[in-house]
Amino acid sequence: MMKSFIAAVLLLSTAVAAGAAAPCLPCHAEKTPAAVAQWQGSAHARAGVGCEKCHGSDHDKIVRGEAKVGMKVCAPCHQKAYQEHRASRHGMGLHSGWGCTRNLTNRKPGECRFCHEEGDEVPRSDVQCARFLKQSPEMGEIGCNYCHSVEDACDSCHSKHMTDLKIVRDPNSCAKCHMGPDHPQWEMWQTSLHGTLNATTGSKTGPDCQTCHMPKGTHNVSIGITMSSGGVPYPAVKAQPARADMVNICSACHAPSFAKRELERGDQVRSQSLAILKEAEQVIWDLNDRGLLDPMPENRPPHPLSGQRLVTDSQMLYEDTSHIERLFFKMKKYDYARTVKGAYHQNPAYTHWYGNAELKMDLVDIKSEASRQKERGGKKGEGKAAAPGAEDELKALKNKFERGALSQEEYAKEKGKVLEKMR
Amino acid sequence: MKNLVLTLFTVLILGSLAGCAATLPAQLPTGLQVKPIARSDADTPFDAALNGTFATVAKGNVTLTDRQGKSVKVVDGAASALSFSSGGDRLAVALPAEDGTWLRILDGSGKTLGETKIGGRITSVAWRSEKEVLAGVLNVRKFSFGSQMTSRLFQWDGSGVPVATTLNDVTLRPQVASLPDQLLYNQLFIAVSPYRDEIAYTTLKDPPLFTPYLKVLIRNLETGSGAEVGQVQLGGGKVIYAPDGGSLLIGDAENAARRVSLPDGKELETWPSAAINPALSPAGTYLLLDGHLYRKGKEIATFPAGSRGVFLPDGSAMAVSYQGELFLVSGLEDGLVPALPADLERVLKLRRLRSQKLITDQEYRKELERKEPVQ
Repeated sequence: MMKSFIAAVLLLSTAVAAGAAAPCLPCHAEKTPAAVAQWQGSAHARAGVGCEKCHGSDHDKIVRGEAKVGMKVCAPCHQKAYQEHRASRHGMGLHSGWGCTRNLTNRKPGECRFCHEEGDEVPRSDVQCARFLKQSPEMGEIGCNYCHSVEDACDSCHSKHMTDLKIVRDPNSCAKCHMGPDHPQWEMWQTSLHGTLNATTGSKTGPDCQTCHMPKGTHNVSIGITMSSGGVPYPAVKAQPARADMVNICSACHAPSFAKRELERGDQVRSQSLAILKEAEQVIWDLNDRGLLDPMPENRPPHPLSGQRLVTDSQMLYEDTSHIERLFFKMKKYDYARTVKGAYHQNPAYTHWYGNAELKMDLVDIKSEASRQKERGGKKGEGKAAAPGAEDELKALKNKFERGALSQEEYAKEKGKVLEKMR
Repeated sequence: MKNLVLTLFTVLILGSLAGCAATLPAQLPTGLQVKPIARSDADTPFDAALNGTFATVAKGNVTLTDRQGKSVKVVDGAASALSFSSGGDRLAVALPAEDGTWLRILDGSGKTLGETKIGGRITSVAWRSEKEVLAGVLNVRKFSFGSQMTSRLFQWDGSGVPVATTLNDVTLRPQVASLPDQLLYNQLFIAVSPYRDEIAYTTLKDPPLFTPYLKVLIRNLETGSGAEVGQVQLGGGKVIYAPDGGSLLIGDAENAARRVSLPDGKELETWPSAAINPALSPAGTYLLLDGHLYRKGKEIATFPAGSRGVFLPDGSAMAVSYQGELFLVSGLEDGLVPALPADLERVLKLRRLRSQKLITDQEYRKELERKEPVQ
């Protein structure tokens, strides 16, 4: 009796599935057999969700690549997951960096222009990251969008036609993007004690990415994080509840006091590393104030978002810059990120050797390069007929004042000192 | 009233006879004398040297005339601009050619010391020093949608290749580009500051839907930095430095002339005459505006419309060109020309800093008040 019932259900479900995809199957079983087979084995097929439900019925449009199955196609059936995703950092994947912050409350005035032409409500581009804008379309697609499309593409993690949760519960699915020199979270986790335990005894004793960052299956991967993707600490009002969330997550295995202490150690490493980073950044801005970057921003191709100005924030480039900026890029994007993320992921080697040691050596390199540039600038100036040191000093002060590094009073005072020396 | 009518009548009678006799119809105050000294074709440039030599365009040729009235032709052809160096030993002459303008430097006897060809129309020449001459050059390229006017400064030492700097580049609407030359090219008259580190000039601005006008600008020749100090109507393109270099005489062709402070362009003084053919005496006592001669702000004589003048470098006289003749109006008491500061090098350094806005004008003045410590 039971066997007959199961057989009937299977037959019925196959018939439902076939019915849902009836117009497409004859051709696609031949043209795209893998897609058909994956769909046939999916929960979608079992639930009668056929091709047209997601892809629509305009075949020409599909062939032209204009019927992409974006997140809004999935959203009506997967509302909870969609809302959680939108609230997370993944939900802003195409707006990477602080320059692309339409969902943040503390966005800077004038940022709308990154996405919109003046007076135009339609965004002119989905991706605004300066580094993306400098890429060729091919490099942009593979090197940028394959990861950053996560903002609007469930299949970025879930794959296209399969619905097996085994795929997205494997940390390898995160590794596609969360690896490499700029944020090697996957490698950090893998070689940490958490990773080792996971590999040897399973996820119940060794937590993986999903255990800590997607607790209870949430799609908000940003729960418990207390800094921006660029490593800038959140203000207390935002950081404190996030920290409480993370302590709560850790407390599934650890004593809350232990978890709190470990995370606070990470905070300390972060603030110490940020201080080193800021010191290096000041060295570069000082060179810029003195007109000693080689080449100076005004003598380079314009930055896609900021024009011919020095950029050292999240939108900084690794091309069309001076050598010292290239050193700073590595320091900020690789070594600072590795130190801080290494600390929060409890990986000693990444925190120290791949992170902190590199960070400190970067500062040595940057200071040394700055000295060379200053020496070079001094030699260049020897031939100038009427360009005294005072003039260079005043130029540097003016630049510092104009970028807000000096107040009106400080500027006047410092100028007074230079003029006093001139007398 | 009777006297006024009589004076006007006299002026009219004398004016009508001017074609017959070399006279300058003007009622002059006691102490001023007038006499003809040379021929000077109408609407052509002229200048006076420190030693009393006059350079004019006479019968279509550049001519030098000394105080005794002895004239010698030194260049075949008319000049579009000419200027004596401050020492009077050299004369810079701009000579229009088919495909540009020749810039030539002559010595006191008319011998050519150097010559170079510049693409475009030289509207003015001025000496920065005894060795360096400056030329303001306009280029106009015509397109279907309008014309492109480029203003350039040429700095030339008389031997090498002139150094060119673009001062302005503007697109003119067709109706502006077709304005008469007297309006369109009446600009870019380079004035050199008494400090010799800065120039003042005008450039054309043609904003859509608005009347074109001239911007009055200053530019430090060492740093290339400058500032806009005012705006004037088209046709009012000539600017003159006050003898102390701290202010500039500017004005419209229709409205009053005014003196503005440098570099902020604040109005310091006004005159009721339009700034047509303005000239200022070396010490600043006398000012000629549209034929009206002012002494310390008070009008003392009126020359007929269309007369133009230059003051002799020693301030003792003024040469006035009127209806083909150059007249010498002597008996002027200009006073002493303000001397440059003793610590010139330091002042030039401060001016350089101010031009780049590295110090404010207030800080500049405060520093000027401080004297260098006595050694």
